[in-house]
Amino acid sequence: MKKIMHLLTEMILLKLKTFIPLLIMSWIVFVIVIMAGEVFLSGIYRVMVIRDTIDIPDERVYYLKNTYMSESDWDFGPRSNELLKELEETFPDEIEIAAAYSMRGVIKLPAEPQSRGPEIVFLNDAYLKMCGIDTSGYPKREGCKTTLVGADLKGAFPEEYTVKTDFGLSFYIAASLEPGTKLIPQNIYSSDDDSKPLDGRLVVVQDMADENSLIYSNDIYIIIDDTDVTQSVLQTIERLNAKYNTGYAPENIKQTYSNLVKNCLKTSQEKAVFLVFSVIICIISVTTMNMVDILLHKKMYGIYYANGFTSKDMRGAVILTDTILFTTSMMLAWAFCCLRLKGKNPVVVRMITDIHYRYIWTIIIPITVICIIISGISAALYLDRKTPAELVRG
Amino acid sequence: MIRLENICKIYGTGEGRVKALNGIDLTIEKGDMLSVMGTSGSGKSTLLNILGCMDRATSGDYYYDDVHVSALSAAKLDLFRKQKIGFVFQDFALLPNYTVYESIEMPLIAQNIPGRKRRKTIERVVERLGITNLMDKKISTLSGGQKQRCAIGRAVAKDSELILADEPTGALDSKNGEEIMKLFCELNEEGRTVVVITHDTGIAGYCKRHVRIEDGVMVTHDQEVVVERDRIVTVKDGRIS
Repeated sequence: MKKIMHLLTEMILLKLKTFIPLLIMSWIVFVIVIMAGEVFLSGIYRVMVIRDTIDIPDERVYYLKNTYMSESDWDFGPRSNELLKELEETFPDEIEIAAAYSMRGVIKLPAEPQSRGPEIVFLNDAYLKMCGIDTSGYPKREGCKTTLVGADLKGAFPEEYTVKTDFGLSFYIAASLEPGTKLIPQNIYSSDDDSKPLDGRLVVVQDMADENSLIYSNDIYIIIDDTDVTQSVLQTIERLNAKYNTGYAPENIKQTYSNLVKNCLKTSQEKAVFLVFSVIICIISVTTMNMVDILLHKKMYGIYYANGFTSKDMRGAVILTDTILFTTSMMLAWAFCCLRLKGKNPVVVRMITDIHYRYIWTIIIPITVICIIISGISAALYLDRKTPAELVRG
Repeated sequence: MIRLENICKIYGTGEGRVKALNGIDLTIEKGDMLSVMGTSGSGKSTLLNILGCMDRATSGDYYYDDVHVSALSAAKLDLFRKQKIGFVFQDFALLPNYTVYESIEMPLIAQNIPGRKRRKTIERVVERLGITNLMDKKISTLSGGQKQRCAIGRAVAKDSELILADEPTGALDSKNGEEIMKLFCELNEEGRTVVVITHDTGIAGYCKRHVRIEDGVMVTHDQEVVVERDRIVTVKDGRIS
């Protein structure tokens, strides 16, 4: 062991000129792998959040899947509002309409959310939990693990930041909207007073990225309280679709959930290909880098052999050098990935950190070990194949 | 001490096959000082590598005392090399950012010799070689002669029975070359077996026995003129007369 430690120190010192570039290169490779892992796992994470979030409600809940929506159709919102209005008028006691705002466009959250807020529509429990908000006191909408909140979120968002739309279909997030974020209530029942709570209504939010584009919420749910009228409701929607030229396809929430998970998994599979590709590239590159390094230091290894170090000593030292190299580069890559989150949206930070701790380690550590084993063993085997005479010639 | 029987070494396969050694028979007695001469590419370095267990013969038998070296496993061959053999190379084979002390220490570490004993051994060796004042100097700052002394120090520090020197004076001027050869003679007088590879008949003249290799075949001439410094000596049956 003492011999190996000596060799190890000497190798690292002697190889310093190549060790540092090797470290930098493997660091880059690990950064790519960790980022690929983040991309892949955020997909998986989303599936899990959906799974944790949505209670599969009973057969009464239908999701109005929008098969029509076109952003250039400026009348779509009012038409769909009309449809919902007529639908609710047709079945005043039998159904309940709920709309959830799903994040689209960009919503700018205030640094200090005002406590005036009736603006919250639906807030996903998982999201709230991530924000550290206790939702136990809030009323719950039956059937969904979403919280109907009409309260302030003071302290929930420590600083002003922008939540990007990409954050998730599953996050039925509404925010304490500040002036500047134009909330245009077009719900059919509200008064013109836009400070009135908007729960359960269709909401149109102006996309901050483009003031001229209006993006409509398309997460509309119909809860059919009286199951006897289910067929009748569905037929009415079909008729109203034709009438208002909308394209709503009612879909039972179970099916919606299933499709959602399926889509997320499909997307995750595509990301998984990227991850696997990155891992393969990682292993190939670190192995190649290591082999090249050995080629560059053939003479040095030959000298060690000539001076009495055995193949066993050399193998041990090569594998240990590899272990130090790749463990260090992996740790540095992870540190970089954490540092790059600094100043980012705290919610994203929470999510990514969560992903890091819960998933990345279970992938990155095995990948590092694989890199060490493959590149270390291949380097050691490569050295074994060479006779000391060949090595000492350089 | 050493017996080589019908040693062959072939490099490459197919059309690229090169027979570096072809049926070498050689006996080296304990305490011998042998020069192996030959032109470039004649196979003398290959022979040295096989003698030093740095390479294996394709066929033939190598005996060292009673050990059948050719039959040893790779691990045992490593141990054998570690215990018995010291090398001196033409290009010194020293690591440039080591000090003289660290260079000589290297084989002692490989032999697991404890720190205090290592220090004593190194001090003895550097004193013996007259390089005590260079002990803490980096290899990269030394002259060729000093480097070669350091390399010799490294070879003898572990008490090797056999010292194999591959063109030890090849990178030195004649004065340094002579000094190094004298050093080898002294080591030989102390009882070490020394094999020197050279193409320089003057250098070979320091040795007691001489063999010549041509195209991988050993040729021992009855009459060979060797120039030893300023005098001419005759070699008969491989021995200086």
